[in-house]
Amino acid sequence: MLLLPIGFWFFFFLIVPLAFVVWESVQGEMGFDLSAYARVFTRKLYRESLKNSFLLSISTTFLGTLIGLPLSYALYKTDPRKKELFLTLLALPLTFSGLVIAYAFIILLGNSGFLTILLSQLFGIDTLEFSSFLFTWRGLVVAYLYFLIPRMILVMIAAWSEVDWSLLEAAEILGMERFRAFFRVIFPLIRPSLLAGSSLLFAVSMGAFGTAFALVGTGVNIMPLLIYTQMSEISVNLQEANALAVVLVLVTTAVVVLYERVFTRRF
Amino acid sequence: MSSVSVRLLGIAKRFGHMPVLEGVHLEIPGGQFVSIVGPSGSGKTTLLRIIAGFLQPDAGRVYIGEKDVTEVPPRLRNIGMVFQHYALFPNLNVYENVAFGLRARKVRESEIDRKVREMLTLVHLEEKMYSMPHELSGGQKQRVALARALAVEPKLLLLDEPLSALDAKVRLELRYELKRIQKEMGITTIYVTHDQEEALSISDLVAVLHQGLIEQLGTPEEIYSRPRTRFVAEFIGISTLLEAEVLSPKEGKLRWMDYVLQGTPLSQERVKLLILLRPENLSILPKERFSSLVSSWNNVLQGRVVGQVFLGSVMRVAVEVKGVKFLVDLPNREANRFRLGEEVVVTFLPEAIHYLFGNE
Amino acid sequence: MSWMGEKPFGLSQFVLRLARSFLAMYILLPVVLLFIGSFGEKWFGTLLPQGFTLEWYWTLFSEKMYLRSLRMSVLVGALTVIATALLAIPTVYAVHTSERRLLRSFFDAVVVLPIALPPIVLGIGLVQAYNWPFLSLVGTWQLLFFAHVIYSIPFMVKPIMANLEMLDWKTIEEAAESLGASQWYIVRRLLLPNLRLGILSGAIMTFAFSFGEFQLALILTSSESQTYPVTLYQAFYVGTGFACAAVTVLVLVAGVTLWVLNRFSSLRVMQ
Ligand SMILES: Nc1ncnc2c1ncn2[C@@H]1O[C@H](COP(=O)(O)OP(=O)(O)OP(=O)(O)O)[C@@H](O)[C@H]1O
Ligand SMILES: [Mg+2]
Repeated sequence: MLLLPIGFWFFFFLIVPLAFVVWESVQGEMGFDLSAYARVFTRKLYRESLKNSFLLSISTTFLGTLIGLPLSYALYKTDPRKKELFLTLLALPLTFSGLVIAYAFIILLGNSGFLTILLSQLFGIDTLEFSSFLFTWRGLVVAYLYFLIPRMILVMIAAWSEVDWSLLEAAEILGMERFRAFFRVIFPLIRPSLLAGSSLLFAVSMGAFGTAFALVGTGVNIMPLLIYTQMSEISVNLQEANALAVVLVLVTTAVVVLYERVFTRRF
Repeated sequence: MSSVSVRLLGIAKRFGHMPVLEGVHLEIPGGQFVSIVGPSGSGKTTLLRIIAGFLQPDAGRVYIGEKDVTEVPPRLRNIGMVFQHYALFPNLNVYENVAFGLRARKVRESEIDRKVREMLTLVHLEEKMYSMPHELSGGQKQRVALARALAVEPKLLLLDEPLSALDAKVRLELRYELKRIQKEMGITTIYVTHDQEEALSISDLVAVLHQGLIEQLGTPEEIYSRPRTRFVAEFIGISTLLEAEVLSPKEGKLRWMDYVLQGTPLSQERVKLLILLRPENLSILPKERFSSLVSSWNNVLQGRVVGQVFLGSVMRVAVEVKGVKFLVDLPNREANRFRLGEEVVVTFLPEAIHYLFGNE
Repeated sequence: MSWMGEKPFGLSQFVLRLARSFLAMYILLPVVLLFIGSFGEKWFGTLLPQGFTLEWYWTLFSEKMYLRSLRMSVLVGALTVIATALLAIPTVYAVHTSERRLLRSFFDAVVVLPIALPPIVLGIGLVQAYNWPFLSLVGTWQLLFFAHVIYSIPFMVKPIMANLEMLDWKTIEEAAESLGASQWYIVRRLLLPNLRLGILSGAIMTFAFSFGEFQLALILTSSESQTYPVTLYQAFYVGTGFACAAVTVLVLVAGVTLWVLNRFSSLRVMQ
């Protein structure tokens, strides 16, 4: 009874639209056809977008985890009052819309950006060459990290504070070397959070397009942007946009599920 | 205030496959203070929540006064309830907490004010009237909870371990205050606790709940000195239990191991039964007295001191007789005469032997 | 325990402190630059802007297009807050009081939904589902509002759930019931007042999200129903100072939000 309102809302504004996406993706000019999916996997433009999205997300996930993990430990080790401050600070990039981040990076790394000019003054690099990198998918990686690293840190701080550190002492008493003890005793404890955190980074990177759109327009061929172009241009092929949307969701989910499977088994 | 009786007829309740209550019968006369005691998990809270109406029994009826309330929702049962962790409304101050039930009943403002003040006076908290719950100590919180429950003039007061979250001193203080208020108002009260000492000191009647049934209902005195079953005897107070063989019921002669014991005459024909000895009814004598006593006296057992615990006013001494530990309370001065490992004699009057008929 | 607090794995405090400073700078540098830039007269080819002016803010708050989109953002944000609260409160209550496992997992699914579902996908779905010949919602702010509510649910539900879990609600409710209170009276006098901090936190988060949200707004709105971020996007190419000012407005909304929320949490700790 109490769930009626939310059920209603989810039905009409979530289930129904998603059903439309799936339904329209298999509706050709004359009834049912799967050709749109075939094209998603055969046409170069689409295949490229899938590849780029994938590369982008893998890179951001990898770098975000690599940088976020030690930082999260550094924050965990700080005193509670400072930690409170840092937590608020970390929430800042998460509250920004993609737009803010895009513009922040333009004035930071754009061709007359703060860092670009700083570096050219210090080392005499070529500003244009340096800044053009911002508008490629590698540049997107750098921009995405701005809102992904805080996510990783937030997930991991929670994990660190649940670790029972006396286990480490116990392991040492039993004669384990410190670093080995860490990997054998502490790592298994934070692994679930590490998995959850990196899956989160991957999923967010796959789906986000605000920052990318604001930075490069439709200049970089990643899936969400491609869907947007396919849908908003006049000559659109909506069927293909829908198929791309379905593929995007499926690929993201599949990767996340597979990843968690593999890594929970391995150890 | 007119007081109502409470009757529980065959209350049964199970959670999933686990039976918790298996046909509880309990009759509580009006105006009485009744404690329900039992070990943790015995279903005390469950029983209380069934009386309150928060749980439906699988079988059985609940009567409050003459009325069958089994199907009546809690808010129409006219009960007052006090919880272990106070359950004060955190957003309301003391005054509004006490007024809550009256406001819910749309009582006139002037009447509410009069009643709230009366209740706060009753629990000695007039000066905390405008404090918020988080500004009060545990004891004060529980007083507010009591005032809040009583403000609506319930016919029945239910308390679920109300003192167990408080520290020892406050617990004692509040125990007697609770009793005073209950007597003053003459309200029928059901009090759940796992603290048997608390139950004995505060109640008119004590009901012992065990394995889904009431094993015994009686005055504290009855429950303590005349337990009906082994469980009640072991749960309430400290005792030594012996399995004895009846030699002659009319004369009250029994055999335990190779000793002959003299009890009071038995009214029932039995071959075997359990007997109970309370520590305060036993005494210890030096070993040398054995031979002189044993000729004139039956209840003389030979043993060895194996332990001593200082309990303040008395010393509890454990004497092992034929592998069984007898617990004996002695005044401190007397206990000093006995050393650990010393051979002694344990002795008692025939009246000290209490027969447990409940165990078949 | 002792040595671990001081020198974990041989990493010195110094390295940890350095890492923290780096992090603070990393997060704050862009924000500070935006802020400085918004007051700069001219910023091109120099390290920092030159001159000081309030002109950009003045332009921003006097130009019709921006004012209209600001109003639109406030409208959508406010409605989103109200609708989300109305949906979230009964949901949290139902999930919390029910003993059924299923409900709990449904709830967990709802909370992670926005991460699992890229906004572009919901956007293209909504555009197709509500585009009937006789009444098309495409390009209206209503459609954006519907979508924002979907994505806001977790922002609202999480703090309210946390709030409710801090209370011993089951006993509070029983206490109230035993005192003769009706269901509605309990909701009005106990449930809502005790959840006010959670609801307020949720409302602030929801508003901040809706106000700054760009991706759905870009897909779903038209030139009449543009919200602030979409209009702002066009300012990117107007001029550095102006764009900085326009972006700073969004940064401020986020900052104020977090500041207020922080206030709350310290209030809560005090109680
Ligand atoms: N809602 C419930 N669902 C499942 N089992 C329950 C529920 N409530 C109580 N039980 C079980 O019923 C048994 C009796 O519980 P109850 O709370 O009545 O015991 P109690 O006598 O009050 O114990 P305590 O002294 O620890 O408070 C326990 O084993 C408990 O685990
Ligand atoms: Mg209990």
